[in-house]
Amino acid sequence: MHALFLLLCSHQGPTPLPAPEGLLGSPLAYVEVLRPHAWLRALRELDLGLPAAAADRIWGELEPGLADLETAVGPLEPLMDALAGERAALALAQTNGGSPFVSAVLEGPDPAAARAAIDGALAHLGSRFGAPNAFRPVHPSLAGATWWQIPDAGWLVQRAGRTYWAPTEQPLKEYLHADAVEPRGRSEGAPLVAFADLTRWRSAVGDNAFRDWDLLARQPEGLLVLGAGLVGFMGARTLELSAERGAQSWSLELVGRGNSDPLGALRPDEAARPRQFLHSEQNLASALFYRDVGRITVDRQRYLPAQAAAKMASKLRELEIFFGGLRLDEEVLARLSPWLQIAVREVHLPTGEGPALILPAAVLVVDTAADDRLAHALESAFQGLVALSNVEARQAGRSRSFVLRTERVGSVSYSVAVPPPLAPAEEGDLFYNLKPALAVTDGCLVLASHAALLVDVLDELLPVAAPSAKELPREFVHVSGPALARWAAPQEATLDLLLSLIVPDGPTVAEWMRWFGGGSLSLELEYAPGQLHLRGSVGALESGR
Amino acid sequence: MASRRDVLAGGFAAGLLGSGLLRFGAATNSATNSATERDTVLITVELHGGNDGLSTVLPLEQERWYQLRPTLSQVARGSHPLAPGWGLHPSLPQLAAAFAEGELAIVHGVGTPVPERSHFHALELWHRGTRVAREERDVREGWLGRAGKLAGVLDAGAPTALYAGGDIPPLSLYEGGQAPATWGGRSGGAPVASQALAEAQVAAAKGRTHELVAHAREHARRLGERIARAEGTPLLVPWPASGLATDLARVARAVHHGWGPRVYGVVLGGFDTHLEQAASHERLLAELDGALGALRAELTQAGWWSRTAVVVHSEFGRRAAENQSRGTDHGNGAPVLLLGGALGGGLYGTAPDLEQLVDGDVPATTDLTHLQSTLVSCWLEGAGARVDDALRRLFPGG
Amino acid sequence: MKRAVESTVESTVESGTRRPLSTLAPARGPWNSAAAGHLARRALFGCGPERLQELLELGPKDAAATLVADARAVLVDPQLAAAEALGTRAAVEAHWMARILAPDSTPVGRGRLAERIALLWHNHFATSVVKVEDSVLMLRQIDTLRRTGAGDARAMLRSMVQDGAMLVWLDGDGSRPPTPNENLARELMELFALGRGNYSESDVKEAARALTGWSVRGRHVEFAASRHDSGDKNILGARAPFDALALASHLSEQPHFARRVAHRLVRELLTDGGDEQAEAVLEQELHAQDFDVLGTVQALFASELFYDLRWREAKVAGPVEYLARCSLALGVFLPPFEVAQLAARAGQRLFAPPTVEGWRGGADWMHGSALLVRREAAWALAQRAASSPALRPEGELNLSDVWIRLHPGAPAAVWLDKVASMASTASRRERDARRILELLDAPQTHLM
Repeated sequence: MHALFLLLCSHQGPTPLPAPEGLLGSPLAYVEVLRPHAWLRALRELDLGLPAAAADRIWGELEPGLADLETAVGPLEPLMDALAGERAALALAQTNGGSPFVSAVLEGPDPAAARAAIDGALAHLGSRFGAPNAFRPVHPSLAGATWWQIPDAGWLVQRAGRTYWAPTEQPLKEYLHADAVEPRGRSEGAPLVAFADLTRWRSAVGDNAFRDWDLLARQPEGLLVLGAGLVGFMGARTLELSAERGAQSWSLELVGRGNSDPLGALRPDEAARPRQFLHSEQNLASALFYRDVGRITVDRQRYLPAQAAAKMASKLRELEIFFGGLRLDEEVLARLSPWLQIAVREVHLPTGEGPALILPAAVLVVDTAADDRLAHALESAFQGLVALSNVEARQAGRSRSFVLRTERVGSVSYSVAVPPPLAPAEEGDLFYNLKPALAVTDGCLVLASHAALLVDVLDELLPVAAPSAKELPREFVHVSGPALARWAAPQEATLDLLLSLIVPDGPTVAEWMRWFGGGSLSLELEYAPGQLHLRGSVGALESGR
Repeated sequence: MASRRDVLAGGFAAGLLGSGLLRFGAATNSATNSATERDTVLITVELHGGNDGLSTVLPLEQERWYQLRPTLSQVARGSHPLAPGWGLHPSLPQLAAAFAEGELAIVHGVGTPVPERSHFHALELWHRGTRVAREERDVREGWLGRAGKLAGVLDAGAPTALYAGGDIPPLSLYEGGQAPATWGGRSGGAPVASQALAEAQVAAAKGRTHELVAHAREHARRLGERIARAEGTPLLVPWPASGLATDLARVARAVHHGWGPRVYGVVLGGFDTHLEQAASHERLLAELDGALGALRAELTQAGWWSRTAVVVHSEFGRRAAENQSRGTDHGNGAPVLLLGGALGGGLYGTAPDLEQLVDGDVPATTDLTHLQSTLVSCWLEGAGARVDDALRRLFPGG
Repeated sequence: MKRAVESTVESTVESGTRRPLSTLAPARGPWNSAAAGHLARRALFGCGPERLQELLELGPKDAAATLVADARAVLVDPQLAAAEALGTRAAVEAHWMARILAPDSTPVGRGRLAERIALLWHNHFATSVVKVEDSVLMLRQIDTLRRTGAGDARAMLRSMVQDGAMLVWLDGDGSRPPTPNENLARELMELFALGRGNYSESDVKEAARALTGWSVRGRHVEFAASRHDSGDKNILGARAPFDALALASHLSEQPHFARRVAHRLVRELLTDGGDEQAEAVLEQELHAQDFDVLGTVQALFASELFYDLRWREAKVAGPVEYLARCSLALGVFLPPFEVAQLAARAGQRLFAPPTVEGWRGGADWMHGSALLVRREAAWALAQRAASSPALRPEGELNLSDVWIRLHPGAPAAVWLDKVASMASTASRRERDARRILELLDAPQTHLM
């Protein structure tokens, strides 16, 4: 399988896909897979682009179902090879004035083999019921095709190596009578593609079917956690997806076009100007998000339904006591930049000062238009929240609490919550991975899960860089395989134990790292004019990306 | 009758409760009380950790209270009035409403003669309802479990006590070494076994242990059926979404459904407020109030409220003075709340006087075990007796 | 019940150590899969058909020897440091559960007798994390019990008076003159070493003095001579300046100690209620084996006494035993975190016995809600088992095969037909799962 994408990433965004050949009616949505039998074989041979033990587990789950299918229709692999050796597509479509229906089209390399395969499978199915000839063709030759009817399971039609399935006769007749000569389907390009025309789909089935998705766009969870961009995919006119499996990797692209957009104001209109970290190659993970929290909270009446807005208002009021009299929405959140930078990195602690299992620490960097009053409010909010968590821990019977301190590095002072001291030469448990710290300095808010990382980052931050004018706004998440492997290696025994307690016969840490340790996980959301473009990949990619 | 009393009340001093209590034959004030003796139900809400009584039932006119508790006495603002000089914590509006309608009784100063400062030992004493000799220590049995067994059930074959909660039930509900039936945690467990199969398995059992297990499984199967049936019962009033509310909603379903047990228990933990008491105590009491209010509404609608008594108590109270961390430490005497449609409200017992503390604690003027046995004998056993009469006779100071 | 006086088991020489001669009459009765299954259940919580076949082919004497040798090989836990690093209560519970559920094909699985013995001693020196609070201390206690409890029982007793979790649990931590805490001393005599009535109150007081000076700081156990009462103590007729170790040695030399150990072995491995005659026999064996626990257990497993029919499937399985037996027989496993939770909800939370007397077992396990939790666990296992290819070698599920895995050598239950003909539900998988559920939740399956 080679990674050759049909979609080009140009400034104008990728060009739309041509629809697969052989789809009945007018498709509202479809999925097309090239050479599906190769997927089945890859699954059987555990060659899925995942660690072998993971693929083994997936195979273990699926195998009984496939075995059941095989007893019904005979050996699966030759059947799929003959019927769908080239490609298979499933579609939701509509005929004029009709209601939406599901149909499928399979394309095999050789018409005679395809015909023999169907005959064989239907005979096998028939003999399960004691009637091998139950499924003879209804129309041996109509519009150049052979027609079978399966009671309660629709119609199968085969013509020139291509097999169609639909629940009723009508769309098949319309399609097959229309044109006797058909072009071959595509055999190159992304092995899995999907498409949805959301506008027409909505009008065909009614908005009710999409209600949950639409609601998400109007909930704080959707807007703040997923972000206006991801949620906005549901408001697009069309969606296109393509996916690809490499020898040791997976990747996908999702494009949403023609977004009609009440959420437009919550999206970036110019690229970020993120702060650079000097030693960013040490990061296990880094991310950049655009979340206009200020605008969402200040204009909550506009973006949220009444009840959610009221709940948010009372939540804000509750939290305001931590911020020393400032209004949380207008005076705090609105003065934080919507671009949130997150980095995850190992911290190196002197022995005897840290936990036995060292987890990576995380840091959040946000630009702010902070004056002294806001800086002070942010620090006291941090301290208040730490005190509150101490109280809750005590009530829940846990006897450990943090001690608040103010410390200094260079000219910058920061607040830090220190866990109780360990006896000499003793190692703490997982709790000791937390030593939260907060600093507000130089127009920038830095919040870290461990003070050691905060200190490093304060040292490394460079002034804001100016982006190229032609650059499109982009959010991303990136996880580095080599850095993750470096973190995991010295603690492999403990991490292995932890994994084995959750998933008893899954891949070990070493197997995960062999698969991922030379690669990365990358997700990127790009805002092009009139389009949203999501790209993702995981694993060790071949050269060229 | 004497032997039953002994079994019920374990260590209470002979004669204190005398036979006087048990003369409550006829209903003293029938009014709304149309219950028959066998239909009453007792629900206990155990507050684990040691609830701070002086922040629940507030002695608003005692100067000493404000002096000893500069931070914690701020709950006086917004408190709900009960009687002259007394108020309820601001987070308890529904309980205050119940008091106004005569459905909440508060017994002051309940505790142990000698303060038991360890959670471990206090819980044990509270749950067993009596002190046991070391040789009997391994018999797992509690006052509620015993009470449930003696009170009988409303539906043949029902369990004698039910614990609504997902974790291991408290010792109070154990009877004869057996845990009570429990209903909690995730619903939607395994499919219920068929009766025919279970009977065939019982019939096929050979050997004493085998029979024991087969019978136990049959009991379990019936319990599973009851739970499955009751899970589907719709609730009559809106309930808040908290852990305690979920548990009490299950109790309400079981009561309403005529499941059978007459004794129910639920637990709310987190009351061990040594640090920064104000915020967490407020949250806990709010959860308590919301759940009890919904329970009251639900059982009233279902027509069971006049036959229900709810007891809310904790293993000990807390010290009168607040400590350095704006919390309180383990104390002794604390109020017990009794809720019910036919109880008759009011304040009972010797009200705590903060000028007369014993070693920094509110003393226990009513023994916890005496109160437990009063409740059991009056409510579950006494023919139509009203608990307020019994309480008045027991605690003339009220 | 016969008691053999002559020694009839030959000693085998193993790498230089001479095995003592057993005083127990060796097994002579019919050796069949029922007997092998009985051995597997009591020694290993249960096992899969391959391991069972292996034991069957070895015969009782060699099977017992193999089980013990395999257990000795895995007494040291290589993942102890990793488990301590995780440190949380849930992780530590799951870790032990994972050892208990180790498949037969792994070394820990083959040596599962070591876990059975560790659980046995956990129920004897019943210490609860609820008071100790530090899960790592509990983890270390079980590790100590696994190692020392397989060897000389006297050394095990000595190790427990210095164990951090034990000191916290019974208030030995910080006990010092002039008013030492008597809790540890009392339980040591009453429950762990001697039994009720075999000591006096003054023995307890004096023993409490001997146990002073210990404290637990974080996870370190420390002894401070300055806080120890070093004077002479009068304990059980001997006068000496006993300290904790000397006290433990003294107690283990009392005649009642062997009986106490035998009592625990009988309760856990033979019958819930104990049995006077069996205890007397095992007491003698313990002396013959010089207090070596695994040696005694090996002799027991090879003895006629062990295979007496009245012990067969007459012991109520506790939640851990039940869950392990079902998993191991079917070869289907749930994640250890989940199994630990299920066992806790069914009344047996590892590291948290209800009192210092441990789990009483027997009928105590058999109340409604606990059985419903067992059924829930059985359902989760049954659903996995229904898709397991190992249980359907020819494609269709064979209920008799499943029954035989769970109850080797037992006749098919008369109600199996009822299960086989249960109304079928939606999918074949669901139907098979329901059938397996009824086998897992059958009354006999709750008996070991």
